[in-house]
Amino acid sequence: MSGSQFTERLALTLLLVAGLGACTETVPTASNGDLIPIDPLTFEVLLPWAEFGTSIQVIGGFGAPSELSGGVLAESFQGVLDVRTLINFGFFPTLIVVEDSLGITRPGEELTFPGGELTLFFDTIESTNTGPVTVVAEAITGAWDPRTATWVLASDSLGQSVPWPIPGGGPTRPIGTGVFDKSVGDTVKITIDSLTVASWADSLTNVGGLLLRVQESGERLRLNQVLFLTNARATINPDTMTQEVVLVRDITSIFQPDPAAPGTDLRVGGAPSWRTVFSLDLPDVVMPPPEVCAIIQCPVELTPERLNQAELVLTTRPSEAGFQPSDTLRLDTRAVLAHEQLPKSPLGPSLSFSLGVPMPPEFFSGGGGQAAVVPLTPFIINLMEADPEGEPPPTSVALLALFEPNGLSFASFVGLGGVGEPVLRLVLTVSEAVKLP
Amino acid sequence: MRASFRCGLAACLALGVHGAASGQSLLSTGGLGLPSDGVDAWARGMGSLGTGLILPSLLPGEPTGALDLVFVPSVTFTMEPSWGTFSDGGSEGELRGNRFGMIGGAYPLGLRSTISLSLSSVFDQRWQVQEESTSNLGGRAVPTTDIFESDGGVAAVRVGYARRFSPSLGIGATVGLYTGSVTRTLERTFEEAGGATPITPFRSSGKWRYGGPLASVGAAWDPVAGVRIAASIHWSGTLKANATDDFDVADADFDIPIEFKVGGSALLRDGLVVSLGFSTADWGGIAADLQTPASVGRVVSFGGGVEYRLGRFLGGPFPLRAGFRHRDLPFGFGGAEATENSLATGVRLTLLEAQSIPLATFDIGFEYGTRDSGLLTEDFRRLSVTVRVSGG
Repeated sequence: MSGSQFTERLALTLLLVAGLGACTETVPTASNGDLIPIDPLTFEVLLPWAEFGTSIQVIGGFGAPSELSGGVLAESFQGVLDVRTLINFGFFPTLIVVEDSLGITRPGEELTFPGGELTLFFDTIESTNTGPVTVVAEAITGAWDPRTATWVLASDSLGQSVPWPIPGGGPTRPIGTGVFDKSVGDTVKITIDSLTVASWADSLTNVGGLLLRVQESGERLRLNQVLFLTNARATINPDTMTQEVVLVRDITSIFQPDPAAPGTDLRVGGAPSWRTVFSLDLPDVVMPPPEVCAIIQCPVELTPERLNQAELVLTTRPSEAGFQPSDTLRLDTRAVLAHEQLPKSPLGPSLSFSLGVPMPPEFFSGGGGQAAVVPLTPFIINLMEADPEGEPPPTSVALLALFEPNGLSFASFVGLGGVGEPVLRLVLTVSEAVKLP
Repeated sequence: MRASFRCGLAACLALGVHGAASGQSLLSTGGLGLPSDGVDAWARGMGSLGTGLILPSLLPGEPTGALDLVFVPSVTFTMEPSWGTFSDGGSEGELRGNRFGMIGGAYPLGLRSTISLSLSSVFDQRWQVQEESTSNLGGRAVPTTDIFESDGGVAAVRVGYARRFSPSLGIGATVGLYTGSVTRTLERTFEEAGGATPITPFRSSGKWRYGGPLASVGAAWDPVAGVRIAASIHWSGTLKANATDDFDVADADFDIPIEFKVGGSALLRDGLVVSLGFSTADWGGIAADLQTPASVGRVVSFGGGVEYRLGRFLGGPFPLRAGFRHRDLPFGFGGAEATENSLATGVRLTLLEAQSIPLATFDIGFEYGTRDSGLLTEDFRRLSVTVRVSGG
């Protein structure tokens, strides 16, 4: 046999063996549980507040209505709440491209704005109306500050408070109305007259802007987006009219009354937003239910290896009239990284899912009394795994709206000292150590 | 030739490492697991236990096997893919695994002595159990799945020395150490959370590294030309399982019994060889070391077969083999006694020979067998492939 023949055969042989080596494997799996040499026990423990919580507080003032995405309109909603949305337009076009009298296309800079059209996009889920409602557009005649305006004050900045001549954004001048009917669509169109558009386009006279309100009582509408198309005409060709988009510069919602202080309740959400902040001091041992203690030795040491789930269980309460949610609220949970700096403490990353913990609106109306669970498993495991000689981990948690602020409505929960106060629900598994046969 | 030898050695190492883990039987669940019988495809194809084969071999379980491997260095490795089915009284399933049997090398010292080095599997400990159950969480019955997995095994590395004192008598001895590791993990997963977040699975793990001494001595006697009788004694110190620092689990010690082996072969006429073998060990002493009660006691293995050279193929001799083997297994399923019976066949392809000395061989053995232990029955097919390359 020649050397090359041998090499060829050896290579083929090794290739065959390598192929065998690459065969897929199936780990033999028995179904007889008696073969498992240990018998872990999983159980649930409910810790009352006094056993795990050290402080809890409700802190308000995060964000402002001007930071809401869109606005809110309400008239005597739930018998109490009035809300109006104020809008200021800016950035009117300064030139348009038209053909001149010679047929040459060129920019025209001396513009007039002969009217326009407002298109309002409403949230059909969060808006409470079931039938048609009238949306009223009015021109605001006075100046206002979008960041500080309230129902009573047009501005409240630099230590100077300027009230509205008429609370609620007045006085105003009527512009037009439109009808919002969910069965027809989610938009309302309102024509804006030339005089109003011209005043908005003039930076010297544009001090007011637009006020939107709902005419019918008992409804609350959520405005998602505003589109304003102005008609524009250039002097070089007054016969040609174009439509140009004018962007919203400022938008805010003013409302009355302000919600009452939360008292003993816990509160999350609103605009400005409330947060509920609490601190934990976990016990070293917990007492399982009696039926579990009949099997294992109690109490049980609390260790991260044993912890499968940790949830704060809150009991919902009806939110204050006018501020009850009409759509799902999403709660976020974040570690408070510097408790001593509250309310301005930085917060850690979200401990909830990316979309937060959903809370249906019915949790906060009627009688409330629903259990709302807030995930804390990674936070508590981090707390238990902390190196005693290292940097202490955060022990406080903030409950807040997922997008803050997200709306005027807020979530309310039973506070301390009563039936339904917060409890910590732990799912633990206890097992002897794995051993050899 | 020298290049071929190095090439073979490299391939052996690469493939040996690749196939080091396997899971081929639910009998791995018992005690220390499923014992490997330490033979190559040649021995397996003719039902031999490896003791008393008439031609030189490099078997981790046979100290005199390397006698007469005196002309050139040799390397060899064995792989054993297997597949089959099982029924454990509660479920049925498939077995599919690829076991690294052994890898070894022999180097001649003069014309009478050989030293050898081998790494071989001793116990296969790869298996898992899956059980569905429920946990009562605040009055809710939450479905759970427990998966207990054992992954690893015991191996042994041995250094051997074999010397022929006369044309009819040779002796061999090996010393070695147990090696290998096993990781045992229980994971409980929860099907339904009912809360804001899924319930994190519970895990409890332990990892142990094996160690401990072992040794064997044996003698081979050729009373007449064409007849060999051999016997060997295999001693083992305490098999120590030391928990690694990463896990808070207890160490364990296991007393492995002495095993006695005897076997022989005879060349009845040109190209026809018969072989018989017998071994026994008393595992009763390990009962006190096991935390899970098991029925352990004396086990017996025996086997035999024939090899007949059909002619020549690819320029070398082409033997065909057949045999039968019986093994009592020391650890059964759920504590029951266990046995393994198999019929085997095999062939050898000689890839290269010089002056009638095979320098590169490729042995294939195929077994069909059954294992029984209490409620467990297994049908298995096992392919053994051994490549041996010699050169200098």
